Amino acid sequence: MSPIESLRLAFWALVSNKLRTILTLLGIVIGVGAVIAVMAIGKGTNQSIEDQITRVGTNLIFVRPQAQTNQGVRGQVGTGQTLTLQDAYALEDQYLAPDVHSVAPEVNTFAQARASNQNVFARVTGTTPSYEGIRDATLADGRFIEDQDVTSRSLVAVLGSNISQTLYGDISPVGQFIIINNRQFQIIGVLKAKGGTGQGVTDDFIIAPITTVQTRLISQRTAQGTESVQNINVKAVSNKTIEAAKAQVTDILRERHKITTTDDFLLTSQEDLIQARQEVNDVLTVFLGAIAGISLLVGGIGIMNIMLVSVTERTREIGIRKAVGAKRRDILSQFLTEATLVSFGGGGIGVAAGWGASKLLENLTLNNQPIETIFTANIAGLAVGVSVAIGLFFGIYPALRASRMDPIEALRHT
Amino acid sequence: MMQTSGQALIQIDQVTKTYRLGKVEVQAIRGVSLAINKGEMVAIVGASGSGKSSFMNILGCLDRPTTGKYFLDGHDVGKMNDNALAGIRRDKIGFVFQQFNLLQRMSAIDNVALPLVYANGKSRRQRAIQTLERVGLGKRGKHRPVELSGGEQQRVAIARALINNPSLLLADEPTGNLDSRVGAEILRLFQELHDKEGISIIFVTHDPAVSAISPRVVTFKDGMIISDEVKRKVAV
Repeated sequence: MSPIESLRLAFWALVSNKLRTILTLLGIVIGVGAVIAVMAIGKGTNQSIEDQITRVGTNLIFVRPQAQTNQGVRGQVGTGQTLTLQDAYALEDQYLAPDVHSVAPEVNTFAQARASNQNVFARVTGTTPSYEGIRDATLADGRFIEDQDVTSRSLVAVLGSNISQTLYGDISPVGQFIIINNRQFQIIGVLKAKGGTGQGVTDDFIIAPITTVQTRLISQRTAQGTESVQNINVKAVSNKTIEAAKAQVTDILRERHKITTTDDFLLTSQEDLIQARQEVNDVLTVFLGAIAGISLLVGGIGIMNIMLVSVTERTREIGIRKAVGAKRRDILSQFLTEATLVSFGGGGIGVAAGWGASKLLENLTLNNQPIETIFTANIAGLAVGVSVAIGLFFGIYPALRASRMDPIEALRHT
Repeated sequence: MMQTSGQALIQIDQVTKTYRLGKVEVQAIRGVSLAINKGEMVAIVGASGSGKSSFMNILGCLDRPTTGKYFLDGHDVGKMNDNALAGIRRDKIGFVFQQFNLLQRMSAIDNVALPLVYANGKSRRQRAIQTLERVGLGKRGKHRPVELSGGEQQRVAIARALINNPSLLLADEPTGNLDSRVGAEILRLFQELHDKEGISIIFVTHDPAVSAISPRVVTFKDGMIISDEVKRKVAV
């Protein structure tokens, strides 16, 4: 019997028992659909994690002080005051750190800001001009802080888009004055909205020269008496040199801090952040995928069940076919083709259903974050392949049973 | 493979068949020898339990003898495996059953063409229609078995048995499920196929009126042949 003949036969057998075929299909459709949807969401979430973290800039390394230890009690990471402005400038050394593109130290404080008849409680970030390039800040109007502002500790501020919106509405506030902790700052620029949440990303902040924030808004001095910084943003030359840049930064800081044992600073690259969060997500995806996979398995058992019933029901048909000359492999291929066709069809419909479900999910949001899904041909191909394999696996036993029937016995069956 | 005498279609030598029913051994056939030539028509008669059905299954290559030899058209089929037997059934034998044994989901044409499916035959539809015409059912080909009368269904079954031009047409109680008038028509068709086309036909019956159409009647009793008569041809 030719393969085309087997296909034709299987097709007609399935069509002539529509309800049963649909129910069997459904088992596979649900299984494959669930796997596809979970995979698409998992991949999408990984992508959105990456997007979220790279939204603050690319190829970044964050340098933070280690935890402060006060009388033996270790505090939170970043509470130490060991990093200084001079450390940050030292990292810009072209010879010692050739893989460092630029450096932007920052200090953060929270302050009440007020303008005209509005006021807002906002984060104030003191930093240097290179912050603009490192954190991909884009100006909507005006200018960013300049070296001049840092050296002269100017009372100037760049507003985040939400702050500007809250205080001034749609009017550009450039040139206006804003009162931060009772000090008057001139607004020199407004940032474009970036959206999103996550580490360091928000439109709800005010940028001022780092020296201004250090001296006018907070005053944190290190043991040596210099001003401390809370975070140094380091941008590597490219994503391939992140590790090299990390090593260079470590070397410079160890040298400067005269460290022989434990580092008093901590380096975290964006890669690390992405990886850490994606790992969590991957575990979740695999876990959910496994649960979805179980329903695929159940679907496969459904195929086997139906095929066994079908073989028993068609015992006489098998007898007739054998009597007119069907060989074992003819019967085998007839039933195996039937099982495979069901699982292939179920796989195909399941892929479509899973894709549809993940598209529907994209319209929803979770914690104000849109659910992102990624659907690739690889996943689809794999899912169809797996479901065909399941059909073959669970179809082989019923098909073998059919093929081994004794024609005389089978013909006697009523 | 061994060639027997040129004329012999079937050469059976001391064939026995023993079934095991649990611990009991039942001897259905106890040493039967029989030779049937090409173009012969033979009726096998006997009471139920006489072993004629078991013998039919062996003749039709649905079963193998426990001991003894069976040559069909020169092939030693007694020792063949399942697949080889399936090939013999497909190429050499046409089967007609008491219950017609048609596939209900298929049209008459598809039923008739069924053996060709397994033989990878070409222009199956056309050949099926031609064969249906041979048995006088040219116009009913598109109907399914349920839409056909018993006599028509048996004609479809005969067409199915004939389509591969078998060396041997085997019929097991072919008129058993038909009333006597329709049964007579079927028997007339058998006679026609035998007389005009020279087809070798062996059929089993318990009805003396049916066996009467056959020039040769083999009688079974208790798993043995008790008589093998050749008479003059009689009209139905």
